[in-house]
Formats: sequence, C-alpha cells, structure tokens
Amino acid sequence: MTSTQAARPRIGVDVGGTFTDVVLTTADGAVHPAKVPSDAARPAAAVVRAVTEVLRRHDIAAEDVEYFAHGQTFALNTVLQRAGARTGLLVTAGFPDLLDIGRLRLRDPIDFFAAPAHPLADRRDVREIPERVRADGTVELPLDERALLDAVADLRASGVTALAVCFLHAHAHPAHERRAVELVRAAHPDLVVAGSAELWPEEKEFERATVAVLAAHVAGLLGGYLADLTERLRAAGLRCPVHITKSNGGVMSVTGGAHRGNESDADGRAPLRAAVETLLSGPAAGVAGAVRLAAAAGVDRLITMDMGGTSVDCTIVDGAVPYSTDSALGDFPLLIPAIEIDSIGAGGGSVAHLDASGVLKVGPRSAGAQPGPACYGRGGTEPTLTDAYVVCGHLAPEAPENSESFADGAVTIDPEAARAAFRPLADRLGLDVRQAAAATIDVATAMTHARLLPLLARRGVDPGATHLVAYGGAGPVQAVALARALAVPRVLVPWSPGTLCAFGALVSGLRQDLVTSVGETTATLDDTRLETAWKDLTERALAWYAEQDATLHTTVTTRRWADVQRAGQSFTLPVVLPDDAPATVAELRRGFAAAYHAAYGVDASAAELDVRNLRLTLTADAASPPLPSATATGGAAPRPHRLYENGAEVAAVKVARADLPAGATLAGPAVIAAPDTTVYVPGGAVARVDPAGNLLIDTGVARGEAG
Amino acid sequence: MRSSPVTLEILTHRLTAVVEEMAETIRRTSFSVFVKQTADFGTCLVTPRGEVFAAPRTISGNLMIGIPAATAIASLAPYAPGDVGISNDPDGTGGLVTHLPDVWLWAPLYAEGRIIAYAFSFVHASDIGGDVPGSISWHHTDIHQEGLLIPPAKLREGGRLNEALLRTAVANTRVPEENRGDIEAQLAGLATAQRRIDEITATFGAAAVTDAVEDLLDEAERRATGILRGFGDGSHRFVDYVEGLRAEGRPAGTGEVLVPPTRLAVELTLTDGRPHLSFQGTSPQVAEAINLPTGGEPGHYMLVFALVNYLVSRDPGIPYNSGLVRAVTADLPPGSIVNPGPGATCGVRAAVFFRIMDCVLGCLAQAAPDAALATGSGAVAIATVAHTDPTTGRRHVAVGQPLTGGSGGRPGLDGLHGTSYTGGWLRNVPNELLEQDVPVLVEEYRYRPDSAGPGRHPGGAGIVLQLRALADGVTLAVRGMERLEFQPWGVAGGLPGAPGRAVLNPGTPGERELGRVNVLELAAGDVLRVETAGGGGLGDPAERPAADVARDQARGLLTEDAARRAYDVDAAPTRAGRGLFDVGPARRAHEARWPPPLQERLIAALDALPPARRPAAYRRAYLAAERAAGTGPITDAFLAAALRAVIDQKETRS
Repeated sequence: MTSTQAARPRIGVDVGGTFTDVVLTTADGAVHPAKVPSDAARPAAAVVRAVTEVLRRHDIAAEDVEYFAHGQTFALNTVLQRAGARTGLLVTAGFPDLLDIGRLRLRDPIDFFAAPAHPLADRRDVREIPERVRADGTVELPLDERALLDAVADLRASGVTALAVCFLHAHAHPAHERRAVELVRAAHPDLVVAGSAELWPEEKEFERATVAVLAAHVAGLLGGYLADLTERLRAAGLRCPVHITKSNGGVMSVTGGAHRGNESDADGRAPLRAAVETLLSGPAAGVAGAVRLAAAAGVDRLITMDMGGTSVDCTIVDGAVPYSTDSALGDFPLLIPAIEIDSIGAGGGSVAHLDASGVLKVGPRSAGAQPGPACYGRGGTEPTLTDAYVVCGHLAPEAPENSESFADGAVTIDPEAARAAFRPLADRLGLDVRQAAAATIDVATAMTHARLLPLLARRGVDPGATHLVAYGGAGPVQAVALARALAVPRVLVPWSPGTLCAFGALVSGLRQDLVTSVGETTATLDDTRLETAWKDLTERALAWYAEQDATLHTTVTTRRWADVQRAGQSFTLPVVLPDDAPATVAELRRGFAAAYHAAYGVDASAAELDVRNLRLTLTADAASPPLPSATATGGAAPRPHRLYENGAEVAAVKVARADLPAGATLAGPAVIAAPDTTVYVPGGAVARVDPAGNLLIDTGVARGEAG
Repeated sequence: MRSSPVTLEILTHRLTAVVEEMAETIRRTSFSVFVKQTADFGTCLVTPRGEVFAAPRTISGNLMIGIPAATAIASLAPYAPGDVGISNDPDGTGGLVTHLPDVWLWAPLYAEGRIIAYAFSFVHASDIGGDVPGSISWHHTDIHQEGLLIPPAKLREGGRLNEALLRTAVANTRVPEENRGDIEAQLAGLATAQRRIDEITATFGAAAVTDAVEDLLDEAERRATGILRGFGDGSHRFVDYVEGLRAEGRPAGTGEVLVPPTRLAVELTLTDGRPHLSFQGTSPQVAEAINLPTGGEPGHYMLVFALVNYLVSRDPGIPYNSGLVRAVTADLPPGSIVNPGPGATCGVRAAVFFRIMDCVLGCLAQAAPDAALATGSGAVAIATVAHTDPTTGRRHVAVGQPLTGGSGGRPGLDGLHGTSYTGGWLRNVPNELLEQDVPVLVEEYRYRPDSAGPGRHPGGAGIVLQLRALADGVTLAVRGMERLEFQPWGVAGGLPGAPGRAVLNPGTPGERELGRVNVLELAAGDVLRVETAGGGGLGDPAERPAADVARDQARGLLTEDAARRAYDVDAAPTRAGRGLFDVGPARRAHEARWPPPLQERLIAALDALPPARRPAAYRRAYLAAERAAGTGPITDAFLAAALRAVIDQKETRS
C-alpha cells in the first residue's frame, strides 16, 4: 500500500436510534466526526445525507473516497419489533415445539406474573416433516419429500413469506436438511429459505434453529435496505467498496464478491448470512473502536463503558476481546460469535423517583430520546440522571450559559428546566435541589458498580489492573465516579466519545468466524480428523475472503481454536491453537490442560477430552487504519466554573476540549466541554491529553485521593 | 428508618453486589454439573441473629430467603477472623441443611473489630457417598445410606485450612476431585465477601451498614404485612398429598397400595397481615426419604417459598430478604414430616417442599380469590440415561434431562408451558447432545396436547419425552415424578391438569404403566414415554374467548375433541357445586375411601409414639386399614382395629 492510497479519504458511519454519526478521515491525516439526526423510516437516506454533508463541509469529491464502512441497527430493530417476514419453520417430526420449549429456564423463575416468551416463528407456522437422522448419521427415516412440499405449500397459502429449516443432527449430517432446502428453493424461487446448518453448523438444535429463524425473518428487509443504501451511495458519487460491521467486531463487504443483490445471488444466502452476522454490530463496532484506541495508547486491559440515554453497555477486555457464543438478543439466543457486551445499568434518561418505602430509585423507567431529560426542553418534566449531571454542573457543554449546544447543536441544554424537574423530589427527600441531584448520581453509580462487580468476578478480572474506557453521550460525565467505586486507577476518554461506533466501523478489519462439529473424545479422535477439519474450515474462510472487496485489507491471518470439555462434563472451554503448532490431539490436550488449570486450579492433563467443535477465525486488518492525532494547539484559557461535589459548591474550571493540546494536564475539579459530551474531572483527579487526543484521567484511587 | 433514603439505596446495591460476586465466583471456579447446568447452589449474607439480608435473584436457584442460620452460627461460636464453618448435617444445623448433598459453608464477616454479619453459601454436590451414585433415593430408610455426614466443624480456623477434614470428607464420596473443587470455589466466594465488606465499611462505616441492614429487613417486613393485611383477617386451610406407591404395571390410581400417600395440611391464619402456618394434620415422618428437616423454624425457606414468591411477584421492588418472613409463626408438630426427629431420611425432600408450595397457594387462593393461582405440575423429575458399553464394560452417564410440567393458570395470564415455578431455573439438555452421549433415539420431545387444565386461563401444557434404546444395557433413572394420580388442581371454575404418566413400550402388547419409574433397564428397541402433568386451569372455561381456544388448537396444545369437551358452552358439563378448587376425580375418590377426619385421626393417634417409630407405624396402620376395608371405604372400625395392632405392638415392645 503506497502512502498516496493510504491518505485518501475514508468514511465510517454508525446509524443509531437518535443520531447517525459519521467519521471522516482526510488526506492530511485529520479525523473529523459529525452527527445528524437519524431517519427511522428511511435510515439509508440519513446515511447518505450525513455523508454528503460531511464531504461538502470538507470539500471532498465523493469519488475520491476510498473506503466506506457502516454499522446499522436495522436488523436488530427489525427483530426486536418483530417487523420482518412472517417466518415458517420446518422441523423433524416429533419436535414441533422446538422454539417454544427452548432451553426451559425461566428468565425470572420466581415471578408468578411473568409474561411468556414468544418465538419469532409462531407455533402455527411450524410444520413437522417426516425424516430422521441418528447422531451417527444413520438414516432412521428417509426424508418424505412429498410431505415436505405439501407442508411448504400449506405455509405459503397461510401467508408465510420466509422459511427456516432445522432438522436434528444437521450440523454434522446435513444431507436431509440440505435436500429439503434445495427442494423448497427450486419449488419456490421467490421464498427466502434459511437452512440451519448452512448458516451455522453447530450442535444444539434450539439455538441453531433460532439462527435460521432470525436469518429468515430479517433477510428480506435487510437485503432491501442494503440495496437501497448502495444505490443511494452510488447515486451520491461514491465508487469505493461498501462494508457493514458485524457482531464479531469485524466488517464484511456489501458490494463486490458475493453481494450483488438478492436476485443475482442464486441461493439467496448472502443476505441470510448478513442478517445473522450483523445483528449485534452497532455496539460491537464501538468496542472495536475503543480497543483500537486503547491499544494505540498502550492499554490492553480495559472495561468499556458505553453510556447512552437508556443503558450502560460494558465489555471487559482482559488482554483480548471476549467473544460470546451465547449472547442474547431480546428473547433469543445467538450462537454466532459476538463481542460479549453486557447491558448493566441506568442510562442518562433514567428517571429518579421514590419507591413505596420512600427510598430513592433511579430507573428502570427511562425518559428515552422522547421526551428525553427535562433539560433537553422537549417536554420532559421528570428528573433524570442527565438532569442531575446538569444541576451539579458536571454536564456543561461548550457555549454560553442557558442556551448550550450539545450533540453538535442537535440538542440544547436548559439547566433551569433540570433544576425545576428536581425540585419536587428534593422537597420530598428534605434536601435542596443540588443535594437531591448528587444523591441521584450516587445511586446510579452504586447500581452500575453493583452490576459490574459480579461480571468482573465471572471473568476473574481485578479492576485495579484495568482502565475504564468511557464513551457515549453520558459515559465521560459518569466515568470517574464509577472508576473510583471499582478502584479502577485510570479512565480513558477517547478523542471523540460520541462517535466511537462510527470510528470503530472505519478502523475494523474483515473478520469471519466458522465452526464445524466434531463430538468425539480423545479415546478415538486422531490427528488426521483435526487436520482435515481445520483445513476445510480454512478453505471456506479463504473462499469467503475471496468474495470480499478487500482492496484495503490485504494481510490475512487465521486462528484455529476448539471447544473442548472433559469427557462426561457438560461445559466447554475455548482452546486456542498457537499459530505455528500442528493440528494434533496432543496440542489440544496441552492447551486444554492450561486453560483448565487457569479456570479451576485442577490438573486435567491426563483426562480424556471431548472435542465438541472446531472453529476458525479469519481476520484481515485494514492497511494503515487511520488514527486520530491531537490537533489542538492550545487556545482559550480555562474559564471559571462552579460545580457541586462532595456536598458543597466548589470553584472549578471549564475548558473546551479543542483548546487542550497534546500533553496538557488539568487537575479537577474541572469540566472539559466538547461538541458531543462533557468530561467531568472531579477534585483529586488529574486529566492529561495523550498524543492521539485521548484524555487519560488519573482517578486518584491509586494515590488514595478518593475511594 | 435509621438510614437516609439515599444511603439505604446505595448500600442495597453494594450488598447485593457482594452476594452476586460470591455467586459468580462459585459459578466460575466450581466444575460440577449441578452448578454449571442446574444452578443448584446459592449465596447470601445474614445478620448475627441469623436473618438473610442479601441474596441474589437471578444467578442461582432462589432458595435463600428464610434459611435458618442461627443454629449453624451458634454451633461453632466463638469465631475468629479467617474461620470458615462447614456442614451437610440437617440435625446439626437446625434445618439449614435439608438433604446431605447440599454442602454449606459459612464465615463471619468483620468490621471495626467485630462480627457484623455472616456469609453463607452452598453447592449441591453431585455425590456425597452412600449406597447409590448421586446419593439420593426415595427408598433410603436410614440416613447413613444417604452418604457422609459432616457435623458443623471449622474447615478453616484463623485462616488455616483443616486439610485432614477436607481430605476425609471428599474421600468418602465418588467424585472427590469435583467436591474438593466445589468446596474451594465456595472458600473463594466467602473470601470475596470479607474483602467487599471491608471496602463498604471503610467508605460508610460499620454503623451505617448495620443500620441499613436493619432498615431493609424492617421495610421488607412492613411491606409484606401490608400486602397480606389487604387480604383481611381469617383462617384458610388446604390439604394436598405426596403420592405413595402402588403395585406396578397397573393404570394410575389402581393396584394395591404398597406405600401410603403423605398428607400435607396447611392452615394459614392471617391476623393484621401477620401469617401463621399450622401443619396440624400433616403426616408423621415417613419411611421414604422425603422428610423435610426444618429444625422447627417457622420461616424456613422450604415452607415459605410460595409466600415469598407471591410477595415478590406482587411487589417487585420489595426488599428481597428474610424480613419478608419475619412475621411468620408456625406450628410444626415435632415428629411430623415437616419437623422430623433426628436421623430421618431426606434425599427427596423436594417432593414435600413442592407440595407445601401448592398448599400455601391453596390457602392464599382462599384469602384472595381475585389473585388466586392454580397449581402447576408440582414436580421436577430428572431423567438420567446411563449406558454400559458391552465392549469396554465402561459405564457412561448422560446429564439428566429435567422433566417438569406446566404452571397453573395465573390471574390475567395463561399458565406457562413445559415449566413452572417448581424448578423454573432448570435448563434442559439439547436432544442432539443426549443422543451423542448415549445410545438412545428421542422420538418425541414436545408439549403434551390436552394436558393443560381448561379454564378462562388454562394451565400450561406438560411435556412429552419419548425415547427408544438403540442398544442393550441402557439404564434410565427417573427421580422425582409426582402428580401421576392426584391432578394439579384448578381454581375458581378452572379444571385440573392432566396427571403425569410413564409407560414402557406404548401401543404394543408389552405396554406397561411404570408409575414413578425410578430405575429402568431398557433393551435395544424398548421405548419409554414420559408425560408430565399439565397445570390447573383458572376461571370458568366457558369464559375463555373462542379466539384463544382456536389459537391453542392451531398451536397443537388442544385437540378438537378436547376443545369441544372443555370449552363448548353447550356440551361442557356444569361446574356447579365444585367450590373454589377442582382437585379431580382421583383425589375425590381417595377422600371418599379415606375420609379426611379418619386420616387425621390416624395421624393424631401416632403422636403417642416416639418419632423414630412413626414411619413404620404409619405405613403399617394405613395398609392394615386398606386391607381390612377391601374395595370399600375405610370406616371408624377398620381404622380403630388397625391402630390397635400398631399401638399394641408399641406397648409389648417398649
């Protein structure tokens, strides 16, 4: 890659519920964030508007852009609103309630009034197909093709517009399921048909069926959205490859290779894969961006804290990004590897109120984006956490008092409205307005802390050795208080915390995860089987790569890993094979013994092992991914600011983030105002600007300044 | 309140974090199936008096509210920092332990030089020794068959591990390495508790913490009594049964009685919101291993589970602690099945625990008919498949498949299908994994049509599991089947759910009803079909909207015939005269044969015997009266004769 190519403009976009964020990198190496309101009805239109606007602002011709990647919540919202296709499901006879039964466990096993969970494919749209394959591949009952086609005709007549197929053991012995999918596609070329094993060949019938149903439900609309987006971008003059972010923190091509649109895609599989691989992509891109920035700052142990209006989303990165193969998406499990993100606490819109005992509670009800916090002046009157920050002076964006610009001018902050909203609550608590607001912040901090601590314990991570990386609109306001409660010594606030997801989309590499089932113990398993299986996965991964528009992603690496358990136990550990190690049982054994000892302190080096799945991950990082560098040269001096902390109003300073050059330090109490958020640096904490423009805040816990 | 409304909320979160962190630590570092698969473990914090003030809601099984901790605490006093107690002894811990596989650990938590609380945890060990793998069998009659007993002892003293005790304990089990790992996981969990209490008290001070704890307990009590006060004063009684055993191979409810049913009678008296639970009229302790050791503790967790869940469901924000049951008083007759004497067998005490839950819901239904719930399948059976490989001779055991049925109809809501509030935390095993593990073919795993009790809000459907052995040498153990005879009852016009059943080789000449199953050897080609009970219905089926009935039919939950029988206004039989509850024909027949006053007379007469003698005497007298009565009802005369034989024996022997 030559330097001229690397220096051409690139664009990353994140489509959120309220805002569509854009990050543009330009020829001079600068990184420019921007924000426009989202368009719920036509999300692609908002994307193109944002792109056009940012290009115009920086006077760049669309055809000069060399790369475009975007994260979308379209697929996720389609699932959560159940707005996709009416989806039918074909199952092995004897298992009609596969989706309804699921894994049995109730979400709250003691709530007598819990509403039942409803599958995405209604039981009325499930058909049992006479066929049966045993676990060893023996055909117990041949596929009844006539019954199959009759069932599909019946479903179509009743209004089903997409179909999922999941037969028992298809992950290992796919012949029946594959034949069924082929027959249906041949008989109904216009019907979206998702086979469970072709999408994700992993054992566990309920979870695999869910993958197929999610894909079938979303594929049609997502395909339409992506086609619309591509068309609009082309019309706007973009000629570069178009990528979308995936739940695994990587990206995939929309244009080029396999993605030539639904009609030219013979079996319609590309949108199906895109549907299930991108479901959790929005927050994943943010984590990918945070990890990238942290790595550049020399930090590899971190807790990401993405705090928006409705929730706080956290990922614990202990050297490596954690991947979960049992994420949840509303009511549905997702087997396909996704960055492990836990939604743990009260977002800025959470409403403060008193419960039946007169105790101060924050949330779970949220004022959301509409009407939003009282200080947004959009009709909200209840006191929210964001209002509490405003009352205490912790959230104080740039611009003059009383008409402050926030979120790039999209929101105006009205401190008096925030104070008014807190007055009734303060009266009932017998406190003044600022005390009530401070109490609200303390309660929110305790809640988030209480949910984060068990998550750290789940992974055996010591918070004292990590950084908290705070982003989202409210993250940098809340971060130091949370870090102190957790005894985390440092907070890192990225250069542009409000557009980190868009930045993540821009810098993420191509990534594909593949799985194949083994289900054999080391009593019989031989090296040849491992070698053959991983070779096959590697070939499939490379075939996927060949279909990508990988102009900028030329360095390919693959990683082999496996799900292994002790024979007779029922929980696996991931075992990663070193890159240069041969694919042998002995290597797996070595890796497993180490992982097992780390987790349980027990020596399992002589145990019989049960190898459930082999996995392969292909990554191809973007050549010379753009990284921001601090551009501020030191402008206006800090202005005096008053804020409320530790029960008293104190003299503080306020400075615009744009006025803090690399290397500048600022001791709290202070607020650092930026177009997209405010960074609150409490007394006892010290902020420093790193060369990339990130803020590193020493929380003071290591020095005993605060606890 | 002693605390400010702000500090109280902050400390609530901080204390909850402690028990959840303990639970996550145990889950991460233990490696037994009961922790990983069925979440059968727990953690909590208790006051020095022994009241639980913090417990996790969602990580593990929810059985911590009301644990009696005082006896266990006192048994090892005085404590020093670094001490940890251990026990699995029901008698020695005053009912903290309710069966031997539950290994409990506890540790004092210090702040400012004094004990401000104790941390407790338990893990259900996959095996604790005794005469069967897994250590649990309905047939145990002697507690020493149930495994190793560890009376309360200090596993760690002043930070020093008693390695001899630990080694001896785990060596007496079939899975020593696993048990050691689980105990070490619990030690790690307890250690995090002290560390976090140090942090919290350093910030807030010990006094603020103890004040908040008292406030939280008081608030739970205040809000609980507030809810119950709304029901008005009154006494409400409900009787239900744990089934006995009949001669095998006959349809449910027929065949000679070999083991009598166990009677559970609960009277809930509400006085100004304060509940009193009387168990007078409840069976004496029995020979089967279903006795429930409660230590006579009124608010014992296995007595109040339904009440606690009811309160938490009604008021989801109520503090979740033992204050919820502080006002509970109880009459637990010594020597009865709910307060047995020392040494009573208790492996399957869950059967009684579940039935008490039904009785309490029955009482609450009378206290508040508008908020009544019908009962669910009332059982959790665990099906475990084992196979002995003919070539290697090695025995392989597949993880158990939990089999539970539907929940009862709920106010404004239909029942939950396939699972219920007894064991709602259990996860099933994917059939693909089961079939890879052992040579069986699962022919059906689905909801059971027509099993739900009809009603305005029907109960939930039961589950069908049908499997075929693909090889000889397949052993099936099914533990905990119940409601094969006495159906889950319906409420307020709702009908009872279908009873469960288990049948070998259905639809063949060799078809055989299996009753509770227990352990079954299958030859290649043998088919076992288990059908779990459906939940009882709530409200008059005639009031169920036709569209809902049609939807149930379209979803395969209801056949056309059954829909007509239950929901067709013209065809359905009148429900007049059935009262608040519909318990179904089998129970009505049982009570016609054994009139309740005679049951109570039998039970009362055994009070004269020492507790250890009651199990045999109860069974003998019951069976003697059965035999004497032939097919007719039990009469005063038959019962008197049967009792005379038992009492005479007592007099000649003692």
